[in-house]
Amino acid sequence: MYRLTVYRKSIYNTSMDIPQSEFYILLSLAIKPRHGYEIMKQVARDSGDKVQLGPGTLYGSIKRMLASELIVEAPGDDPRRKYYRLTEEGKKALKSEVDRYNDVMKLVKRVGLFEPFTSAYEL
Amino acid sequence: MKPAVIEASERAYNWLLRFYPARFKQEFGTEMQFVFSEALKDSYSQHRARGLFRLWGRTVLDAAKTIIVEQFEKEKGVSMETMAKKTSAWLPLAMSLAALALLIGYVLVVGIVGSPDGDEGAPARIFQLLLAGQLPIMAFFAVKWLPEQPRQAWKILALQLGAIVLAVSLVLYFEM
Repeated sequence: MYRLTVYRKSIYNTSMDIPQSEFYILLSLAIKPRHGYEIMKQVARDSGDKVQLGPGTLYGSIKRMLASELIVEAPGDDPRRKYYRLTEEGKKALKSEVDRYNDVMKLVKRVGLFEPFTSAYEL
Repeated sequence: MKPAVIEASERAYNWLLRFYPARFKQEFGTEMQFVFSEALKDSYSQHRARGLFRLWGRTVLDAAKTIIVEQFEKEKGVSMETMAKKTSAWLPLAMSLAALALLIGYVLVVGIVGSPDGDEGAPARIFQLLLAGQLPIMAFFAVKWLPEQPRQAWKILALQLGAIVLAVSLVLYFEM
């Protein structure tokens, strides 16, 4: 594999820096290894069609995630295709991001952020 | 047997891949073709022409953004990626690609028709608007970014101009 630019090597130290497309790709690979088109369809399904990756965005993200060692190539059913799976780093990054979402959801519920007629959120 | 419109779309996408950096294309080009072909077949079987137009619309925008990002990421990183995501950087390229898609679609549906004496028709006007409309955006991009990041800005401008020249060259080639 050619030398990838690894300018984002340390970007995943904080989960907040994972772009939305890469978060959904990590999520789609959490269950099983998949090839590109399977990832694309799963991302659309998981996001309720709100995130529809084009091939350029998909493989640009895959390139960066390979460089960051969040995913690796994996054997699959169709030898013509490249399959990808999560690494331990990828699982950690996904868990960290999901934990962050959970924390946000807890906060939203606690302060009743989107409920009408609730008291003001005090910082 | 594949419908002609699917084959033509596959050829057009294969051609579009040329704009990605050689290494990126070498690494992921075949996979991107696979993915696009499968998306094409699904879109066409589910929604026919409407599905194809929607897919091409998304693909053109996706290509315009990611070609710039990948072209510059190979040399320098984050600041260029940020710049390539500016609307004034990718929108002109997207407009040229849309004009090209319109031209290719027109040739596929109507055929190569020479320039008539009278009214040029709506497709020709849309084509011209897509090309002319991007000039003020390019000018804005040049004014904003050339002083700050001259090297990268010149490259983006060269890509934008190249796409315009390509679209116009095809019209001249087809003598439309």
